[in-house]
Amino acid sequence: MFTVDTYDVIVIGAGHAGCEAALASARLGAKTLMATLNLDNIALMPCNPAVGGPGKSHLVREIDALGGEMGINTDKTCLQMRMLNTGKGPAVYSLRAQSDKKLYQMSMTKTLENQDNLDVKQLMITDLLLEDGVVSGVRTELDEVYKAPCVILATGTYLKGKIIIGDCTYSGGPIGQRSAEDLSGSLLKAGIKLMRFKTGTPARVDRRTLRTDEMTKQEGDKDGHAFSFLSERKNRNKACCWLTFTNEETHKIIRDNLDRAPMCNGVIEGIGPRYCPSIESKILRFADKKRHQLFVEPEGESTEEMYVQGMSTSMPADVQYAFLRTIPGLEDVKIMRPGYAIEYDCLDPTQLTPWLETKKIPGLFSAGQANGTSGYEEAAAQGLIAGINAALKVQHKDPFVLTRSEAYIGVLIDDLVTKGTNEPYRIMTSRSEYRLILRQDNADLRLTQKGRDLGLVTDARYEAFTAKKSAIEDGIAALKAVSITPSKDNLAKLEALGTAPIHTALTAYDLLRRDDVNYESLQTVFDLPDLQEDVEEEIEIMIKYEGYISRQMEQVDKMNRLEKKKMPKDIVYADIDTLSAEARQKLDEIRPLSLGQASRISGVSPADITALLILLEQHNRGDK
Amino acid sequence: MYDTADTIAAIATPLGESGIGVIRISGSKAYAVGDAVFKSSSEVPLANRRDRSIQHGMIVSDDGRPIDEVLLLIMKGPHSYTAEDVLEIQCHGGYKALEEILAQVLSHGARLANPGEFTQRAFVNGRIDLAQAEAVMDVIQAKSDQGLTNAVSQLEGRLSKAVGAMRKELTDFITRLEVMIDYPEEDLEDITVPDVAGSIRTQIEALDEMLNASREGRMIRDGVMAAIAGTPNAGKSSLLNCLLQSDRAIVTDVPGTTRDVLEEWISLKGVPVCLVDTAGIRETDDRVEQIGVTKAKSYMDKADITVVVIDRSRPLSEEDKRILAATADKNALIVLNKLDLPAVVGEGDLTAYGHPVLSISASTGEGLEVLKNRLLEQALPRTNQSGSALLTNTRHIELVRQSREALSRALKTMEDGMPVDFAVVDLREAWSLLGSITGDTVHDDIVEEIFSRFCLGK
Repeated sequence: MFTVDTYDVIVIGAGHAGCEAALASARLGAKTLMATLNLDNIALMPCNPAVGGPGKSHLVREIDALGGEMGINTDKTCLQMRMLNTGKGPAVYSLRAQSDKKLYQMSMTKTLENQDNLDVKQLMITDLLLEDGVVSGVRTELDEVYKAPCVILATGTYLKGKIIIGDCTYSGGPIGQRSAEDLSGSLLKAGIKLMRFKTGTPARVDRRTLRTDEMTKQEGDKDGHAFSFLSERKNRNKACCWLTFTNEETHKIIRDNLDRAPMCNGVIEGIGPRYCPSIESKILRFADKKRHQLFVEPEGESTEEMYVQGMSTSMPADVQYAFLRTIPGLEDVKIMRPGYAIEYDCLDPTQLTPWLETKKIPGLFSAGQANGTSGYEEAAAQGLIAGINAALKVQHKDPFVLTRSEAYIGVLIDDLVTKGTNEPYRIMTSRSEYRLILRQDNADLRLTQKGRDLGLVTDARYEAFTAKKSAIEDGIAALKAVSITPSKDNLAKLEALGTAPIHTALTAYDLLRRDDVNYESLQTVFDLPDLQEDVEEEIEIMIKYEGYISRQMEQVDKMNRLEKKKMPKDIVYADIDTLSAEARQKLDEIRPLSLGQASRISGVSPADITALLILLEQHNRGDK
Repeated sequence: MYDTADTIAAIATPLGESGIGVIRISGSKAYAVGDAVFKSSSEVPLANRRDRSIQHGMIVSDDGRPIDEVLLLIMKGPHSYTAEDVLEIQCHGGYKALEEILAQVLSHGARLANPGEFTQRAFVNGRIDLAQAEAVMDVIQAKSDQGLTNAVSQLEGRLSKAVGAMRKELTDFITRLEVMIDYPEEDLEDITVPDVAGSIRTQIEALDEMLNASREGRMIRDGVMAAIAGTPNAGKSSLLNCLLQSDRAIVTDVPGTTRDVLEEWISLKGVPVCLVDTAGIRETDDRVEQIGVTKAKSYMDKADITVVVIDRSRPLSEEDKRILAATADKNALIVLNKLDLPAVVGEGDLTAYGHPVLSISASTGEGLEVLKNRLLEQALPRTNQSGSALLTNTRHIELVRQSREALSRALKTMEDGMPVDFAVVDLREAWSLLGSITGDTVHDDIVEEIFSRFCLGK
């Protein structure tokens, strides 16, 4: 064995978690190594060719506001964008992009390779090296050693990855890649608990064999959109998707072949996600549903491969062919790659702190699918936080943690480390209790300053942010300055706007609360300054939904009082006999940072929290 | 239980008090709450009045109606029991006034205190030591072990069931709305706003009904008051003793019960009953007797039921008739005592007064069981046919009231045509408030429900 080099931070994996982790760490000045199994597959999208959607678009915007890369890279390489949920309230508006997979990879690879402080290498890591129980580096299969005080696991589905298609199974990662067979053992030896999860993808088919006239075309929005607060909002549409449905015949073929389905005959042991079930699970669990919807989505401009969204499966190849060909538009379909299931090892995330370091092994961080999540966005969000914190640790600085009321990233990580997960975890807007505040439109207002304080936000981004902030303030001041009396002239103006007359004087600010006016319409009759589109949007949301938002802020204040009560590091829960037995055990396992976090642990009751509150007070008084 | 920054309030005097009742308010908003409910000759805000001073005035309802004449005690933090700003309202006794004042206080920004919470704050704020704090913990721990009477636990079981059913319906709406939000591209049946709005209206009505009927529940929990009236020699005292004797083991030991107004507590089928003897108010002097009658009348006004005791072995006296006349518009029960002696007055002679008539013998105990059953049955208002009288404690009433408000806000949001996300906020609040009644408040329930009910991809 020979030591090749010494780093501050080593990131194992170059998927979406690995990329953000490596970039954040390097950008914060830590000498960083990113190790990948295959340099040609950096930032690979092994599943659907899309970024965003409810909750996920919120994450992308937050990553962007903090100085991460996912938003910028998606804007650069997308094929289509649509804003979902536009009728359901601004807090749940969700942008989604269809991505050009190859372009996405190439663009991200370029960014990584040109990042200062960052080395990108193709390495198979086999061992985590420890000295006195603390991380000291990694060893490769070629017996090279790379030393570092911090290692971030971003191993995705590659730890003991096993591909399953019908009765064919083999060790490997997605799309013919190698799996990491030895690292799991090294982690287990170090005392890390692992779980076995499963996920899957559908077949990729040849675009030239589709009958598109039998499917419904789904085009992108005409309006301009962008994920990154730095990107121009513009129409980036280059391709479209196709919508079609399964039918009784499809279902019959699947039902008739269930004995050959690895999901059902015992071949698959890992736990799969309920929200992204394989088509065979859908048919089993929802037997009375007559049809299931599917989208056929382009994988990129440089390929004819199309992704059959909604038809994830691990059935044998002949069954995949048979059922796909019952679907309108897919009668002549040719499969280019069959659907498959993949089983893999991942960490039980309750072993992690809220800054994603393992409690057991100082210096070992973990992010992404390796923590039991699913989704590129969830992975990237964790990667960013792990990368930031590994760098902060090297620099002997306090960890960076986002709370549930600050960001979806906070919700995601708090859920994982506090409650754990028994299936691949997906973010959803309904997981947040402060949804009206955690909007995708205000992610920059919520987080850019934090990113700046960390040192991740560039001057250009920071200037854009401060400019937007003051434009919002000016806009609101301008609205408040326009006083509207019920004069004949003004009443005529209101009539022209198609809104109800007024009886007492009010301001344009008050008027903007009405649902039948917006800033632009007010501008046509009153003297108001021109504003950028995003500023106008922000002002409208702030004014129109003020009451709801301020009520939610009160809830946040209330919760924050508990969040601010920090648990002593050395507290021995087993000795506290005012706690229930279950609470003692759970608290010891999770070791919450605050009383707020403690209150979210399942098995910890309000009476336990009261007991802790009293204990904390004792402790604080003891310190004085 | 553990939020220490709210302003909390509770009735501080125990059940069965007489002269005065005290409501204690503690927290940063104590004086703001006080200013909202208290009117006096001075316009100075309570926060600016002198520490440790007593203020005289009225507690008024939102429409300015006086509720009770009161004294306010101002004790500013940190030199108060809880080390927070404290306000004590001393009002006239009787739980009706206390209840009304408390409701008024709660609707102006205070939250109902949990058991032991004032003491808990006193500890957390450094006013009491650990031993005392441990005593508080005992109270908290003991809460679940507290033996509840049958009547109460039965009601609570029914309450959980009723609230549970409502919550289940809310879970259904929320899940269907959330799934539309989190899976906008799924092929799902959309739930429409009119569907939800109609059902929310029904739920609001059901909660209103619960609140209206809550008086019976409260009486079962907090007790009913029975005034015993009758001439001195009719056998009131022996009836009282007889009732007390038979229940001696379960006579409620309520501190603060003032013996000199002749109040005694007994438990009938688990319901505390306060027996008030109006004896001793009759004086020989006519003018004073007039005052006595007025006082007896005022007891009858306050009581949930009046028991008129008549000596059946002697003809009706003028005084008997006067007392009977005073019960004309009251909930009353006529008891013919001395069943062991030959009768002069029969049950039939008294039916004209419109009250049920029973015959007993206080000395032999004959008819006593019938009287006890009848007394309780008649004291509790008969609103129970619908099975809606379920609320027995202030915490539940407060939670139901807040749930109702949250549902009303959600309904208004929907009627105003606001996006569905805004309605979900209040639906979720109502859902979790109702959950605190049944003890289910796990946020993840909704997410679980989404996965178990809907077939989702993407």
